Amino acid sequence: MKKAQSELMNYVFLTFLLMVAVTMIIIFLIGWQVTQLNFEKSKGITDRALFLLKYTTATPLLVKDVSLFDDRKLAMFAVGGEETCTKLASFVGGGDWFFNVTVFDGKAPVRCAPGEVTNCNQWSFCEQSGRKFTAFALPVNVYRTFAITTPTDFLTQTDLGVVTVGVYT
Amino acid sequence: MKRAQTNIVVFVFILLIVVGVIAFLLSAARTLNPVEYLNLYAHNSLLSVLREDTGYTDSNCKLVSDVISCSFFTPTWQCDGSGPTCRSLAEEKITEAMDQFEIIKKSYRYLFRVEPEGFVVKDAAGTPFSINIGDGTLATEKGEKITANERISRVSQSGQFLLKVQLILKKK
Repeated sequence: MKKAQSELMNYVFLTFLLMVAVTMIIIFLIGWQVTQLNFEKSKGITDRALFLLKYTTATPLLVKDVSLFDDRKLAMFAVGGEETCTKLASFVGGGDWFFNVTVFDGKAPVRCAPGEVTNCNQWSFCEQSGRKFTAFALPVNVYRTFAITTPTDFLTQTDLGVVTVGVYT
Repeated sequence: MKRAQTNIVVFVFILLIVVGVIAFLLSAARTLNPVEYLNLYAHNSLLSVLREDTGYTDSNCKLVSDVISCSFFTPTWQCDGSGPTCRSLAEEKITEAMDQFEIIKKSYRYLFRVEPEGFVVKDAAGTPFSINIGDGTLATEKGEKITANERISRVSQSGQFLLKVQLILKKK
């Protein structure tokens, strides 16, 4: 009787172990699939953010030369507000994304109002608060124009800055 | 006895599966390492430093690339007449700029290096002159590094001279 009980317990134990093994294999397969899907999604977002980063640093709409932003172009582009985002979306295939350009001029970042060039050092486009995003930053130059005395007489300077481009997830 | 052995074998087998699954899931939680982005970052860092204005107006000192060039060809030149020499201004501006780049500051060691290509410039002590800002050991250190290259060209009556500018980054 005792031997039969012992054998029964043994079978129960072995069956339990086999169930654990099967469960582990199932977890393994599901985990692998989920990881692959997440990785592909994340890669898609990263690729898009990188494409947009290259686009913003090269489009003549915003730059004088590759990676050399023109503050007057940025200021004028900001005037469009929401329309600017729609316009940009039509160039790059839509989707939720944002970018901002900040000048390193030794001062704290001050957001530029639409059309503003002087007394500020940061231009932001299409930003939405409270949303998660994947973003990349890139060092760039910003060609700044400061009016001296007359509207045709300018002092210009090429400053160091950073552009941040993000895609909302 | 035989049954006990079978149990041990089954137990070890299952243990291996469990360890394997955990190891796989941990390794599968890979993060994206966009090499393309890091190369772009390094190249843009170098390019944007070279194109930055120094705040001085004379032609030898207007841009950082100008003061670098001046450091090799007219090293004692003082910017705007009474300002700093090209060499000291070049070092100051490059160090200042590199400190602004968050990714480099947080995670990378860097070496900003400028050397003449195909000719030698000697300093006052008679030793070959080159600019090395940052971690000098990176030049000879082995391992995975990101390198961005640019050239500064200077044309004079005696011909064209090239300066090779490199930014080498290595993970901390």
